[in-house]
Amino acid sequence: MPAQKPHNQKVVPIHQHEQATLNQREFLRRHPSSPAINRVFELALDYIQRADEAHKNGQKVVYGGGIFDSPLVHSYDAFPCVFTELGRLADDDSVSLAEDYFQIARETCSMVKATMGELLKRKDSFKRLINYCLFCEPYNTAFEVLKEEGFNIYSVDLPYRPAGVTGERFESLVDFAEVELRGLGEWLGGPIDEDRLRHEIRRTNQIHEKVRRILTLQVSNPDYIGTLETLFLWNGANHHYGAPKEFEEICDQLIQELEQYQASATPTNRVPVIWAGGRGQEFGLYELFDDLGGYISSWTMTGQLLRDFDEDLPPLRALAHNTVIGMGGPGGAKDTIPHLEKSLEETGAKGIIFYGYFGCSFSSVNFEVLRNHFSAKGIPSLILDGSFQIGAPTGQNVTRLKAFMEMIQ
Amino acid sequence: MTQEVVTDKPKRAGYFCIYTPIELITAAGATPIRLFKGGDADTVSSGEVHTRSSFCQFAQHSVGAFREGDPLYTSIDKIYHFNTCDQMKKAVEAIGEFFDVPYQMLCLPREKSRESSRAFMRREVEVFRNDVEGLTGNLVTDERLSEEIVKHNRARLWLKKISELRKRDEPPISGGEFLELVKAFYYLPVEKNLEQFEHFFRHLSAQEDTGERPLRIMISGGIIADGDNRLVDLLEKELGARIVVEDHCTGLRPFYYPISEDKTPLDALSDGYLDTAPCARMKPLTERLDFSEKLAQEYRVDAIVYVSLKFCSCYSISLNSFVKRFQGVGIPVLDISADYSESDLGQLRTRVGAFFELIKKGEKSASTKAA
Repeated sequence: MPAQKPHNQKVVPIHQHEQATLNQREFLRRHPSSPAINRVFELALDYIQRADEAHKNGQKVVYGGGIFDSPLVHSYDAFPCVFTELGRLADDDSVSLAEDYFQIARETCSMVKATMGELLKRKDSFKRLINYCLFCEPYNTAFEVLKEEGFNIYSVDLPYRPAGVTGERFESLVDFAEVELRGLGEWLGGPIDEDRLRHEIRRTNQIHEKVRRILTLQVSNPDYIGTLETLFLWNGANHHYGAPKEFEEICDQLIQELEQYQASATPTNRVPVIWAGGRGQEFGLYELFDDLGGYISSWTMTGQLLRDFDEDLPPLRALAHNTVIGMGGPGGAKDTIPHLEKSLEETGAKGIIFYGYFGCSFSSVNFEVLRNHFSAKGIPSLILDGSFQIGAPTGQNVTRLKAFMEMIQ
Repeated sequence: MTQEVVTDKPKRAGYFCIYTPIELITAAGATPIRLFKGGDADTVSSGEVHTRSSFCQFAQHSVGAFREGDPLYTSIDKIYHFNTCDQMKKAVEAIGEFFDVPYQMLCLPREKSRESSRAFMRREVEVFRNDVEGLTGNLVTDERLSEEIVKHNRARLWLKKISELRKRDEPPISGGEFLELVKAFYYLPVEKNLEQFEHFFRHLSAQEDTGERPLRIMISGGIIADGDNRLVDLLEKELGARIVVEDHCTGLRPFYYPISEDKTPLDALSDGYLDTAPCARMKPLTERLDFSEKLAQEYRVDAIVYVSLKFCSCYSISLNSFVKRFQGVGIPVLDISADYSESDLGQLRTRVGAFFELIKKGEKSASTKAA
């Protein structure tokens, strides 16, 4: 029997003025979706709480990037928690706390401030953090400042990969990353157990495969799950919200739901669009996008995040390889172009939305370079400056998104 | 095989940040040009076309200078950038993309105390050497490189010695004048500078001390670009204070430590540039704060003016740590979040004036913040 189509369910109206104060948990729980996606929401919403509980129960909890490092953290039987997920729970209060306590300028990226505020609130519950030096400048400086608050922070000096670097120099970057990741292993608890790491890598690749399958099914049946739901799935594709076994089960369940739905689905008239860049917490924006008849046919950054670890390489080398390729941080803007072009061709997307956080130094020029490239090819694009913490989308972003969708339709 | 450097018109290699080993450029027979103009709001606006509004104004200005066809900038044959902060890294990518300027992006480790970081930096310096050889067609020999290290060390030493004259109660050179010498280091051939710096040192050393003691200020923080004179002029010309030392990358800081002349030249350059007095981008932050405190104590400053350009994460996020450090040693700090507009000059004048008044009254807890 086909699964029920969630978009046909009655949606509890959430007015824009409410969103500013609405807790993320409440928002998601009022947001009807497929049974599998509801489980993803639950997993995401309890993520930090489970990390806190793990810490209380004596398990080692490590806040890190949660992208390429989860297999490594798992291999030490530690609980991998992603510090950006702390920010996802944050609201304006966390941002204000960071601004006041650390005297951080208002123009600083909201993602960093939200994370700092949340970390500060939890400074008595855990103190182990990983800082990857290829992350942006605000995060790097923020972690240095947090050391003064007693956090035990290990910096992994991963290199930036300039655009177009290949061959011997690329391998030199990987060599450096490998040594640095070995140092991280020592900090996590001693020499790396290569067999265990290989097992964790294999499991992560297996989950990647399932998530990719979901993406394929979702693109061919975009009415079944919406943008916000998909966003939460991609967010967990590497860190699995700290629960890889359960996350994998959810993927299986969602694949089943989508396959069942496919049997009864009618052709969609939704417009495919590529989402590139960050993924902010202005949930209303994603809902608006769905309401305007769009669907995300490719999440560029997440596409990079779904790059498998090379199981033919020694496991640590595979980890290092993926960090340098760009799994853990953006490289040169131009390196994104082939991926975007491939996505445009494969999904028939009608345009690209570049989403960045206000004040984000990574994304700003990247977007200008990319927009320039695609504009010359006649591909319309829209750059949105949003905020990382939860809240209502700005009127400007709402208006611009509406205009953009109207144009490409 | 060694080639003699014989070119009619030397290639011009541009760079932005001080972590670029310029000795390799000169050893290859090219002319290094530091691109550090700033201060013009119109050029910033022009650069904003390709960078968006929430971007450091120095980075925007750098992009804008290419867009506006600044003759110095457009004369550059290639840009070399050891990636320091994100904003400059992305500015270089924008310049390459929008103005077809060739560039080579090189990696700069942050954790400089680690052996792995040093080995990696060494490899990147080799990449740099190979690239600049390709640019000029000249091989860089160890012998030639050692000569350049010695020459540049001598220039650094003269600048440091000139700066040390500012340790006197009445410095014979103003902060504004010292910045002019720094410009000469970055814009003129090193041989010419050696001669001039020595001359200036002799001349300044001979000046007699009249016994006056102006308010002694250290400027710390982000870049004070060539053309961004308003703060220096305000402090020295309008308010009568004296900048006796600069803890930023266009003042004394890059000249404080020499490059080793005992190691093999490439090792010396890769270690020496990693070990230069750190900017806030490097780790750990405590090392940078230690250096700032050392400078402040060494030059017996009465107060510090801390400047961070708007949207400069390195210096704005670390500001609080900086202020706390100096509160601990009883040196007041005034924080200025600066940009290249003229609109806030009046406000700045009022805030700095009030800060100086507090210091003159002996308020050690005068640390404050100017918008």
